[in-house]
Amino acid sequence: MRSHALSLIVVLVLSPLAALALGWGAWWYAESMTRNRIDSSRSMHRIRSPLHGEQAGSVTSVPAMSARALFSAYCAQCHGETGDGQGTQVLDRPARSFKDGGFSFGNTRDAIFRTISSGIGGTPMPGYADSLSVEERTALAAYVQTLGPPTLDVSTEDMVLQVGQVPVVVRGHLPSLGEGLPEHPRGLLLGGTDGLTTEYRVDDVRLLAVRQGRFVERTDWTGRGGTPLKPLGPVIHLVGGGDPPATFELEAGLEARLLGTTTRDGRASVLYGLGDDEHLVRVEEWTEAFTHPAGPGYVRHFDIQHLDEDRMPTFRLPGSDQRIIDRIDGPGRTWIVREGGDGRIEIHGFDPASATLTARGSEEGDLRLQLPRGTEATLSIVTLLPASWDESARELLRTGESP
Amino acid sequence: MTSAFLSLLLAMSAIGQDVAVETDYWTVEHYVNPEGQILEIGGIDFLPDGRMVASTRRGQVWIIENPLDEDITRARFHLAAEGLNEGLGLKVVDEDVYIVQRGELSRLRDLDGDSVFETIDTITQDWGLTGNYHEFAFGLPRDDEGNFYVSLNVGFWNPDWWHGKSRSPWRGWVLRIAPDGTVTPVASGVRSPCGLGIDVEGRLLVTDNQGDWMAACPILHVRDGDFFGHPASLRWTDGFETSDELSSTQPPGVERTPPALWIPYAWSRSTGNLEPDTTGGAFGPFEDQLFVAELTNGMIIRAQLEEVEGVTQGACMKFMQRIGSACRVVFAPDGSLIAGFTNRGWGGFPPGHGLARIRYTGVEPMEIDRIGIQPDGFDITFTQPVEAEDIGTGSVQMTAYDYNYWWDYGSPEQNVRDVPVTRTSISPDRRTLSITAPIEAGSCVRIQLKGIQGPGGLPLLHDEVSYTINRVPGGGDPGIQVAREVELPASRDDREEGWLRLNWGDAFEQWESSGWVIGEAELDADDRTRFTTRPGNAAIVNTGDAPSDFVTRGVYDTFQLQMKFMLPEQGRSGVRLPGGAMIELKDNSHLPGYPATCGALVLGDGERVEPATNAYQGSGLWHELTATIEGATLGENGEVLEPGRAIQVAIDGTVIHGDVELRAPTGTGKGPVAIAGDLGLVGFADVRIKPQYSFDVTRWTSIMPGTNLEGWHVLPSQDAPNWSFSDSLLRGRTGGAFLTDDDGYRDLDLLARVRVNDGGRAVMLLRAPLDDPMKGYPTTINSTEWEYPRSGSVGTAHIRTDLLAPNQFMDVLVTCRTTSRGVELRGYLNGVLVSESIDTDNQRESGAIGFVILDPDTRLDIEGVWIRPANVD
Repeated sequence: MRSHALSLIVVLVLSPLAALALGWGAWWYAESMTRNRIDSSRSMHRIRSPLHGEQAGSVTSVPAMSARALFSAYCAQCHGETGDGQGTQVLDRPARSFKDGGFSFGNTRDAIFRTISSGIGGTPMPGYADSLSVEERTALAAYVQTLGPPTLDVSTEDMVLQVGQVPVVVRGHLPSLGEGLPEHPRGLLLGGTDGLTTEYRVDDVRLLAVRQGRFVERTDWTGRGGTPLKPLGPVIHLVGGGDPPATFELEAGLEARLLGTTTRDGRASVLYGLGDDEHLVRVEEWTEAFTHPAGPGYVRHFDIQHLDEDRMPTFRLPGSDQRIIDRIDGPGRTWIVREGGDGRIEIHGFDPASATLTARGSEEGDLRLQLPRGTEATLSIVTLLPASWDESARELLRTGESP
Repeated sequence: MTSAFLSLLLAMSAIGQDVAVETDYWTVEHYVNPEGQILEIGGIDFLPDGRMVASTRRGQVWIIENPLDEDITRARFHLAAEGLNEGLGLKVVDEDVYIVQRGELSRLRDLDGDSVFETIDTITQDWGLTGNYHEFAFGLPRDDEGNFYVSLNVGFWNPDWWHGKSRSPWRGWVLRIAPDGTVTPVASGVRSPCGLGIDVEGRLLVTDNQGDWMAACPILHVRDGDFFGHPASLRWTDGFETSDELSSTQPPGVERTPPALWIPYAWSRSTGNLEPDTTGGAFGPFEDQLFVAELTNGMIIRAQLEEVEGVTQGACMKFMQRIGSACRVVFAPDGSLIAGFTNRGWGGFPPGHGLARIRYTGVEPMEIDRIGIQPDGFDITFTQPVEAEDIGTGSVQMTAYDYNYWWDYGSPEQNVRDVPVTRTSISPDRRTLSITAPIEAGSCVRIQLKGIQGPGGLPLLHDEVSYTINRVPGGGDPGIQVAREVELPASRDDREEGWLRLNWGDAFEQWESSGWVIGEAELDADDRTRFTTRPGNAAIVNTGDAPSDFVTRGVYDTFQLQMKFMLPEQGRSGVRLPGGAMIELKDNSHLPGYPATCGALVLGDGERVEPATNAYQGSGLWHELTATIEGATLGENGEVLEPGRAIQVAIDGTVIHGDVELRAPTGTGKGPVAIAGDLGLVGFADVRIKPQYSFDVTRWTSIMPGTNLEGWHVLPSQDAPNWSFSDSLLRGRTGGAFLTDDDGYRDLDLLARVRVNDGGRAVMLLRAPLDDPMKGYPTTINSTEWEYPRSGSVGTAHIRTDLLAPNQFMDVLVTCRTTSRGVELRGYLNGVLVSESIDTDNQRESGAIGFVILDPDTRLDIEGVWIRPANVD
């Protein structure tokens, strides 16, 4: 008897939710909120759940049945045709009425999507993840939402900054690019007219990621202010795994520092300095979308001024922690093909006339480009991100850039 | 010409009336915002070609053409840049626009003349940013050497958000930025230094905002090495390199530079920047004086400084009220004053965004021009000669006060005392009034002038002035400041004890209401008798259909009340007290002079008791109402033996009623408290009631376990107890449960005095089976965990209101009765019924009493546990 109680308590202590899920005394939690007559949208502590594409998908393809028909087929027998909870099915406990806006796990579309997908344990509400597609559940969630009272969510469209005819530069707090990666309170987003967004941390001016798609949602001025930006386009390239090494190296201890940004000549550029005030090498960097038969990608352009012939910076080819699996000398470009630990292929190309390839760092893959001596230089580095690497891709790089 | 004549006529119309009106002398015109745009202004200046340029909190920069056109609607807005990380300070130098962003000082250039800034050069980013939401950077004055000045807000983190912290370099500092971008920290000890300016003497001035270590909103005269009192910034100085050396509550023991000026809290709760009038008279008679932006009350304040024995001090007075959340002011080339509005994130008077210009009509007001301190009083000079040959001492009312320098949020005015005016005299030109009075260094005085008139009986436009006395001429260093070191205030937890927060969490659950909605509410700028509402949770407003009263479900007789309220113009509501009396909340701010009637007590017999003084600041502003109410004593048949009393009623800390008898024809005993919904529009928030109650525990049976929990079932085991005794408290940590040996308890009352931490969660159980205790009837002890029932919830009734703050002792009473309907449970917190639940299936006939900790982060302290049989009253 005693040991039985002991084990139950231990479960409870370690994982209260798990304990409840086991049905252990769950009878009084299972009814949670059902007696709550309060419209949750009026709560002082509203929990906003932004609509993420990865959960409730945007309705891109039309479901086989309309949302209304889906509701009739799957929901109405319990929840009623009008969503008032007066369905034909006799239940121990009446199904939820959507009319007064009460939803077990919140009234955002995401929350309703989750409820439809997973069901509500301990109640007659089943999960439909296996029987309905993402599109159908998304459409259904949107429809169920319309049965309730109007929600108070601010339109996110008000906060989306788009790139139109001219490029746009945004400064602000960048969110983490992934688990274990830091936020950057000083960040920079350059939105190009070609749909490419480059994301820099400002403190040492390093390119963190390249995105493609919509530009950025600005939530930093909402509410009390100061929240991170929300770049919208998916990341197509996480440079150096999100913690890239310095782009150029001059001397140890000298980091690049931001000199400014421009949106001249139809391009968004970041300007930075290398070195000290007396001999400041000035770099203008901008990015363009780039297509090659071997794969999609982008090109980073560097316009370098005020070079000091005695202190020439080297460019560090990204991906030094990745295995070099090939080197190809194609027309006008040398290509270095690398494979990451995750099997992803990353190809970097440069014009050998613009710089000399040297292996310098302590690691085998740490390749540098030495700029020609002079007071100014230009450099263009192509990054291709092909889905796979095979002989035909190799041939495309070797023979030329267009079919 | 015509407009000047009209203005003159308007001004003449004011003459002979009791009240002068600001807009007779200065006109206020609001610019029409570009369609659909919200311009929360953070910086304003003028380009050499006369165009205006403004930066916003939302990171946009606008160029405004024709800003000074006689017809303000001919101004044209062009978006010149966007995507900045805030722009809370702006300065034009030659053709270039300098803007301070959150993380850098930048220079914006339009290289091709298309009114778009293509290039943003970084001048410096040499200060820290941790990412905290409150790490604003403010600016942006420039001195004669070309140096810019920037001030940096401290950050606020939970828990203890009210202790500002400096977690990256130069937070809480004022910085000098040389033309080459070199950053030099100049002065420390600031908190939320929203506005900067340089006066005609070249003094660098910074305004700050009240909060921890900042008693009210000061104007600081900043010199190299100054420390203004907020300790967080000291982290970046010798001796305080680690944050361990900085206490959040103890003063740091570092010499403070006194603020040049403390603006009365009633005038300014959020101060913006300040600019000197260098218009050569184009803006009126106040040449060289300072004009200060004010957000919360939507005001422009006028200030003037003087140096006494090397210490800067001075005076301020109202200039122009109710124009919008003024965050920035700047003088235009034609001598107009441009005001930029911002309120998002700070709150303020509507409109909360956009721009306005204030122009002098040329009609000279009768106004206090200057006030200068003398060894034995003040000399007050007026803009026009006073009409009377003599002004008696009775026309001058002087009040002195000081502040507390402490960690708590702001300071009430302390030691408020009348200062006797012993003599008054008028200069031969009748422009200067000399006041003789015993004045003390280290205090502020508020002087009110009554009945003083200029030529033709023209009344004073503003009859109040506040002077901050750091030094009295010839008096030397008093060794004391206006903001004085005092004993540490009680902790916030201690002050929360016993209060039920009736709108915290779920704002509606503990009330009966209809026709009320929750959202952000502010006055409709087009019709100030109405509210505009946005999604949010700041206010509960009766803008719905046929609003009812908003009535507590619990009942009270003797209690303290605390709530916030806001009224639109002509708004009216009231707090209905048990027994029939009402504290009336009524706005009159549409009437000239804003006569005081807000806070009248309307008694049960219909009689009105007007407030003793006007503490109400006007429509659209949030006020705090506090009241201490004593219930009536009733006879056996409900007759009133002793009427109830309003022991004290106050608005924003100013007492408006002393002890008032609440006469009523009949008594009701305990009753609900209600916010009237049918008298007019009102917004309110955060109603808290501290009920007076007591349990005579001598008539109960204590079942508090002994120190070794002997005779109790302890889980998980006696060998690794999670329960311990200290300071007469049974302390439960991490997990576990204990239950009475006796599992035969049925109907009874169970009372426990307990405390739980933020994030902690436990239940008291009734009729619990010893082998499966969670099958018992639960009463929840949980102050904050939002996804679970909150404290006081019994059975399946789930409270979602955070009635009690964490770490507070609460008296949780649950009554358990078997009736024909089932097992009825009622939960009371601090004597107030908060939840009811019936188990119609009678699932549990009897069982043990126990406590179970449900979350590993729980710290549950139990002071006592008592029971009594169900048949006792």
